[in-house]
Amino acid sequence: MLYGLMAYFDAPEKLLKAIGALKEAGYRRMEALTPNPVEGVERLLGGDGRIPWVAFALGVLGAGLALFLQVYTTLDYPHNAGGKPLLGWPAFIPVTFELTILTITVGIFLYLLYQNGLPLADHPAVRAPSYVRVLLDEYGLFVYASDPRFDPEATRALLESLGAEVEEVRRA
Amino acid sequence: MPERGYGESLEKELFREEFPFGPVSRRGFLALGLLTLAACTPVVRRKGVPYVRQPEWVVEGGRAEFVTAVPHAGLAEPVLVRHYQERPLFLAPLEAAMSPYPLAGLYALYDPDRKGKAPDWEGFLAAWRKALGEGETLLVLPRLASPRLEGLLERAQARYPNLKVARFEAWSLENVYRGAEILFGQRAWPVYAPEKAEVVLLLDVDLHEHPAGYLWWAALSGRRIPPMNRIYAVESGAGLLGAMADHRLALKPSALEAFLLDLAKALGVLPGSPTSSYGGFLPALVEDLLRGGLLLPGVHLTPAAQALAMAVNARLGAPVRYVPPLEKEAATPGAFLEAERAERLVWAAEGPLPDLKGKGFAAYLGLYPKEAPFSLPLAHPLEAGGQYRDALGRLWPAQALVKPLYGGRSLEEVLAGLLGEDLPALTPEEKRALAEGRPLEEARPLALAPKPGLEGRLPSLRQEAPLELTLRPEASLYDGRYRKNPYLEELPRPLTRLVWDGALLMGEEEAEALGLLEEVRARERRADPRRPLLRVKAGGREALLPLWPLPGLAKGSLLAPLSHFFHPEGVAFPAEVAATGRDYPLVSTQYHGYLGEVEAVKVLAEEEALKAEPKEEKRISFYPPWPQGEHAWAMSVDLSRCVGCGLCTLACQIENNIPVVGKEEVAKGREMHWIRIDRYFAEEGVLHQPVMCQHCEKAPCEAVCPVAATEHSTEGLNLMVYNRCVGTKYCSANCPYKARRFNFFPYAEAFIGQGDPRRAKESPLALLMNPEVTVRSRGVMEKCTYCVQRIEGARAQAAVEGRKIRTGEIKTACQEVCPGKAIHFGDLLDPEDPIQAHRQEGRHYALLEEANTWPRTTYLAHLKNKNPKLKEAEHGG
Amino acid sequence: MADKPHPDHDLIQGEWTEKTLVEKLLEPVEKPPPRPWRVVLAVGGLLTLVWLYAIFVTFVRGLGTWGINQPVAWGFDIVHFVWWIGIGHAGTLISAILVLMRQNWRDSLNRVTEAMTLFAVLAAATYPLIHMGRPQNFYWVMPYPTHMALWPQYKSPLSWDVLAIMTYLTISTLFLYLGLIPDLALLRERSQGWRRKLYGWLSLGWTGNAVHWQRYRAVYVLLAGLATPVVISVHSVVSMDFAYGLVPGWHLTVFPPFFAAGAIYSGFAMALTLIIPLRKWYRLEGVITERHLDWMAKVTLASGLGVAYIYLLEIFIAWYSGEPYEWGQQLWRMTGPYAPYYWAMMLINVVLLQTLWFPRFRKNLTWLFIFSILANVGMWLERFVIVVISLSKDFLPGNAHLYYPTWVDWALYLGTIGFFLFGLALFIRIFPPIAVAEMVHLFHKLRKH
Repeated sequence: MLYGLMAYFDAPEKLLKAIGALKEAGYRRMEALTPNPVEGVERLLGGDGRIPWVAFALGVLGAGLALFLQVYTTLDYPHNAGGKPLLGWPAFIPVTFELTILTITVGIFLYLLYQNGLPLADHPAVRAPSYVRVLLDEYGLFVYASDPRFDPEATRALLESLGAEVEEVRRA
Repeated sequence: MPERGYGESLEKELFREEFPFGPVSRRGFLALGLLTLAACTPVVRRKGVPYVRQPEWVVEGGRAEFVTAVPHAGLAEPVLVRHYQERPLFLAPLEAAMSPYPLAGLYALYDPDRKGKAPDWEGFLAAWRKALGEGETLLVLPRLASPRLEGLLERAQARYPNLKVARFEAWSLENVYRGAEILFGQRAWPVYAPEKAEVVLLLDVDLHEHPAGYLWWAALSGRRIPPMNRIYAVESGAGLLGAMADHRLALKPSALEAFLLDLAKALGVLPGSPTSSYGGFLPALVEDLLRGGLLLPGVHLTPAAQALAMAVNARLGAPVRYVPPLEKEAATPGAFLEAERAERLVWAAEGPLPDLKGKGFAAYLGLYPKEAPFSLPLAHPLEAGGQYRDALGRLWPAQALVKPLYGGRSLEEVLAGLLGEDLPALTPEEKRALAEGRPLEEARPLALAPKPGLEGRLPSLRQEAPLELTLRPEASLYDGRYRKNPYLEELPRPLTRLVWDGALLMGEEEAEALGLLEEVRARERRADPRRPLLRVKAGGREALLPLWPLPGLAKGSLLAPLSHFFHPEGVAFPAEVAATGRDYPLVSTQYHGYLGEVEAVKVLAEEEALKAEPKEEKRISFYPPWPQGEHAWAMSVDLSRCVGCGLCTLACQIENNIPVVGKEEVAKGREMHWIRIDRYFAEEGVLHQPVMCQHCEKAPCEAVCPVAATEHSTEGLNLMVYNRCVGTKYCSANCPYKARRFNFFPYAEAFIGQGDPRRAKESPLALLMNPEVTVRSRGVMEKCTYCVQRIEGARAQAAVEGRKIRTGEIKTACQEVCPGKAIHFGDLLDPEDPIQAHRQEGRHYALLEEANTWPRTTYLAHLKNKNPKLKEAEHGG
Repeated sequence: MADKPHPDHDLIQGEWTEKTLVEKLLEPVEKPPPRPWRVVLAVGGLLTLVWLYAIFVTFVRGLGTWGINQPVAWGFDIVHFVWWIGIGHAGTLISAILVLMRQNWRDSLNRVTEAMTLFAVLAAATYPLIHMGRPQNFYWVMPYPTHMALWPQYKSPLSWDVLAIMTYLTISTLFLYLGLIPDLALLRERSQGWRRKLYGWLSLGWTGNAVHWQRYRAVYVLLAGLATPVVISVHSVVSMDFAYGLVPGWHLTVFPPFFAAGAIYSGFAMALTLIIPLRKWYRLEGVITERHLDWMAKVTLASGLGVAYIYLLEIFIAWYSGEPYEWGQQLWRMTGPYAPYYWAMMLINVVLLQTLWFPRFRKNLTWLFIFSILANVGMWLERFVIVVISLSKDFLPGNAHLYYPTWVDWALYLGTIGFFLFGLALFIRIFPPIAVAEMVHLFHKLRKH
């Protein structure tokens, strides 16, 4: 069964041009696979500007959690420890700071995984025989066979015309 | 009804037994105000009688107090024994003061090591009678100050002509009796009243070296606050009493007695004039003594010196009276030689033990079993009754407070057994005295006047020698009799702070002359406990002792403890010392003994103290104050009254179940005493400072505990919550007073199990533990709690009785036993409590005030009353 | 394109293509390890067993088997705790701060140093656990509803420590892991059988999707930004364990920056100790060049100068303040029984440090290696001075007592070193010690220019 076509480009600019060309040609279901982040991709395929906001929200949550933890535990069983005031706020700073960072860290990591759909058991592009090249030095473009515009020969011709090496990705 | 009638009469029977005054109404009984004293004398003689009908105001297993007299070295120490759950757990002095030995003796009461084979008293008595039939049988007794025992002895000697009696004490009072004989023509015992003297001269005597030593300090300490007396000390040793002196002269024994001779001459007691002015010391001393002086001589000075001292006292009109000798026949060390020579021997004395092998009949009577043909247990003083004279000559009754745990019998019972008699029960007079807490008889004063012509009949004084050795009782082990008592073994000794060992003390010059001082000082710096082992030869005997150089010791004077070096011919000898090239580890609890710039112990002159304004305590804080509870507990420690004896350490240990950790652990710095006495060598002399948890209001330890195991109560106590402690030890690191103690190993269980924590469950030593105080497990921090169990006990009692806690009702353990009454615990919110006055005094200060911890325990500065005519530093000789 | 080479062009030296570069970087994982690696693994493994035995002895017999006492309640346990935490800071700094500063030379170093941080923090984290008197109750420092109705006391620096270490461990691990994911994907593709399965799981199925990469990069930079204050704050919180206390020698507000500088110094020193042999044994001189080492040496110098300055500042403050206890503490350090340790510390951290000013010394790899070890010895001595010497004599002269460590103390220390080496050795066998994806990216950047 044909999953799709994998196109290998040797430069990120060529990849970006190809994405643009395919988008114009009406292709929707495609994924770019690169060995490192490529500038300009988010313009074409969409990025995620929410991450900073999510992090901020997590930070507020974390700070709130930390303050609640400390204030509640101090008031629940109040006792005199060293003659210091019960809710001495300077003493609460380190825990609040650390817990905020911790919340953001863990939260944003999980958010990243969630947004990226990871962990991912399998992906058709990985079945490409030379898939490993996109993790090394080449920039790949995977066009799904389920895309309405997909045509094995036409799509292949288009990709090759944009300067790619193309191979089929089939179920083994 | 029959049951009721039976019950009533039984009740009446018991009631009559319990209360010597006959049936008395409850109000009447209470009116006698004897609630805290001897509420009931237990019906314990040969068998315990359980409560079948309990009188309604007695709580089974609760606290009760009894009066008894515990003999130490034969002389009575009247004590208040606190029972809890039917067993004695604490001793407090009944009179002004007591020595540490009765209190520490509680360990021996429960010590499973006392258990030998089942004692066969009948077999022993039969064998003894047989030996008495065969020939002279020597009975060696310790010091006896008991007329009743003497009576039994007389009867026994009458019945058995072969019964020879010798009395043995390594530290003898014989010289004192002989001195009186020289001066007055009659043997007598002086009883001093130091509180009445304006100027006191201590002659080579320390607290534990005189039977009345602790009572003296109780009397003297009252005058160490304005209006102050003045204390001079001339000593060959290094004692606690001497350390409290305003002026101290260190002279070796022969020079000391020569000094006394010069003093006598200067005062006109003897013709002639003094050979030296001792750098101006003697004339100033003479002038001072004349305005109301008293000499307090040590008991080991030669009889000539004793006579001189008594003569000087008479000349000065000093507050001293004379009573008949405390002993019918003085106990001396010489009895040891008699015992060694005897073919048939019964040894019942304490301290050094002669060889019992190779005799026709040899028996040992003592607290602990020994290897001997016959070894039988004597009863612990708390297990048997008796009558004993105290150091002031009064006769005290003693009662048994527990049935003998290991089948022991008292000496009275043994002699009565020999005679085939039974001991009488407590007489009504004894019961009354025990209930009222007073002696049976007062001392009979003797009217004595010095016979003239003393200079003609004065025997020789101490001979001079380059190195003079004095064998003195060890502060903890005495003459070695307390060697099996871990409490005393681990109690830091005066001035040296040594534990678990005896040492040869010598001055720094002598140590340098032996070429050993530098090595010792280098090892001290590294906290290396090894000290050079020396061979000491004196009087034809020798001993191996490790060296401990002590600053301030008189030149040419050596001190060795009687527990480690005993000589049957006396206690003062010319000596030779040689290094052996070997080392021995000596462990001291204090690594560093110099104050430097730190003003931990403040010393003021009397005038300064009177003029000083009470310092307004600087309390700087951003923080709002915490709410105050019903009481504000606080403590004040008067450094002018603290002599550094360590009774507080011992009492705290016994009251609070503090374990003994052993020499190795103390070497690492892990002793568990909650209150310790820091000893500093300063310009003014040796200074002592008891340090315990200061219960800071701004406690640095509380703030840093991550699990809230230590917090502050509204009444001012720094509470330690043992069951919450996880043992991070941050609190200990943060305490500026280092008052906290950590259980690095399962010390308490190891202590109860005699070294093996796994044996703790079956050990009788568990009975020694105070049930009101938690026994701490491994890994838990502990510290002084202001005896919180006593505070809560008083609170509960007050609540039961529907009243407030009375002023002075709560006494902490350390406060109760302090001979100088240096520690005071009270309530800052109670207007009648003396603690208010303490805080207003000019010499009041808080330790480490600059740390801003706001401690509730505060100190009153040490006062010196120096003679303005003696400006320069003394320490001559 | 201009013919001017990229300013960082010499960060990757030698003739490489992407393929050969990747082959080289994956050698430690894919090829049999060199002999020295086996030695390190064996020694580390052995010491780890010693460590476990020492922990067993501590738990069964009690803290008395250590040398701690009254007043030195904290000894080797806390010295090593701080020592290890400090060492961990280099990894986080290289990973996080240098990213934000856009320093390309961090790319070949960050993986090893992050791994170093992980094992250093793990080694450190064992100490608070085993130094407790009742470690079975360690969970009482966590806030959970207890039957005692008690909570932890959050005004205590030890409670802050719990959070700080937890946060530090989490952020280091996650950061390390995040950086590993693309490399794990690469390894997955290059291996078969159980290895492929292992890397497949560990890489979470990363495909290299460009959109994923965008998010990834955003989170990576965010985490870098978060880790930066953590670098400063964690060791500051650890320093508060001391600064919060009123022991003379501890109670100084300069402690947080003091400890932070010291941490960076000791971390970079340990990084040098690890990296110099690593590049030699695995012949990675092409990617870890002398310029890298030079930069590391410079950072070591800079942070070491901060430390040295604060030593002198401490002396000055103690004298100038007129406080008898502070000044007394300095004198005790300088002239007391532990003086040789104090002066050794000064020799290494103040005097020998100055050699790093001179390129001749910095470029001499033998000296750099020796000095990196000495620097960590010097930092060990510093923690010894701070923890043990300050406690051994504080306010009241009567409190003073010396500290002598026991065999258990030493076994625990050598054991943590063993654990560290063992863990690192295993790590570089399973995961590439140099971040492959980042190096390839860097390679492109440098070549493209």
